[in-house]
Amino acid sequence: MVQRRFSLFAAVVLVAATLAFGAWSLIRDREPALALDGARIDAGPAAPNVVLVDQHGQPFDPARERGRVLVLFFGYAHCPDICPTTLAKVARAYRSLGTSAHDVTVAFVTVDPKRDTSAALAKYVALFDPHFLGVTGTPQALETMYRTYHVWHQELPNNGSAAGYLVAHSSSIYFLDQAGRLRTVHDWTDAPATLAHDMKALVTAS
Amino acid sequence: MKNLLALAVSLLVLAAPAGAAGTVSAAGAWSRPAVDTGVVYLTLVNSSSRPDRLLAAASPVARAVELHESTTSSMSGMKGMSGMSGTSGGEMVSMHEVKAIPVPPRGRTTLGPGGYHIMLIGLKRPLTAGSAFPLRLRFAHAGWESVVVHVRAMG
Repeated sequence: MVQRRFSLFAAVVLVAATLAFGAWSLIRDREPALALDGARIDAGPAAPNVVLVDQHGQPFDPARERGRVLVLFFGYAHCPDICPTTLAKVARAYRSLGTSAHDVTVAFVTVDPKRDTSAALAKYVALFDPHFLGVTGTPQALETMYRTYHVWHQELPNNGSAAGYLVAHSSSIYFLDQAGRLRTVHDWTDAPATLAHDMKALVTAS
Repeated sequence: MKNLLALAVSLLVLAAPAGAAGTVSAAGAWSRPAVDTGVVYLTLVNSSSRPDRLLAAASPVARAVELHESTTSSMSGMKGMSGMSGTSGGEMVSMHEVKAIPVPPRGRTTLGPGGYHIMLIGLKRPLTAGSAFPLRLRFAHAGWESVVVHVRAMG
């Protein structure tokens, strides 16, 4: 009798445990259903804890942007073609978000700190959106950023161009989630709607 | 009848320079708001039966005007990033000055983002949306051609 009661108890526990596990699996599986248009990065690096400086002279620490979606693009203000094309697309995407844009920070990080002073960056990023940040910093702080996101950049030899030197650089746009983790990258050729989709997806996924 | 003849002659005279020299035209010239360094994009249309080349450009709005080309190549650096998947990302852009931009016979060459472009270096004042400025183009055969560039708003 006692044995039978125990068996019944065990069966109930087993069924309950199975149901609980099933429910938990469902919840767990639903969580990473973050639908991104860009290549999904599962174990991306955390935002580095470095102090950079924005165009207003205010400190900018990517790791302190927690709770906000951070969009990073690396380039230089003397770049006439790819950088403005990219930033114009990011600006269009950003503005299409409406109030969700309040939860997104867009930062343009220089690969040309010699020429891109905060004053130069202020004039440059203002062309795209008044909320965008133009970021520079000490060589060490910038290097940490480049290393973290595998940003390649190279000052090109000047072959007599009046532009002075040009800079070749990575053209990816980096999307960090609200925990400061890199979740996807887009290329400069991607459409504003695609960029907006992933900004929104990361704002919604809290 | 005399009037008609006069009209025909004047039409011929008017048409002559266009047929002889202006065999390459530029259409849809546009630019973006800029502070220090600007860009011009346009389409070159060659209506003649021989190839031509854009050799130079000039504009009063900039200290110097040059012909440039952007190039995109993929790089392997991003592969080091753990969890990185897909083909998006890992692109790298570069830019160089070019001596000439070819325009094929009875064909067109488009100068646009990520390819050939005209670079405005050392803008004398910022280019603002809605404004326009003149640009002169010099071709190997077609000679000088003038265009008006419209500055389009960002985004």
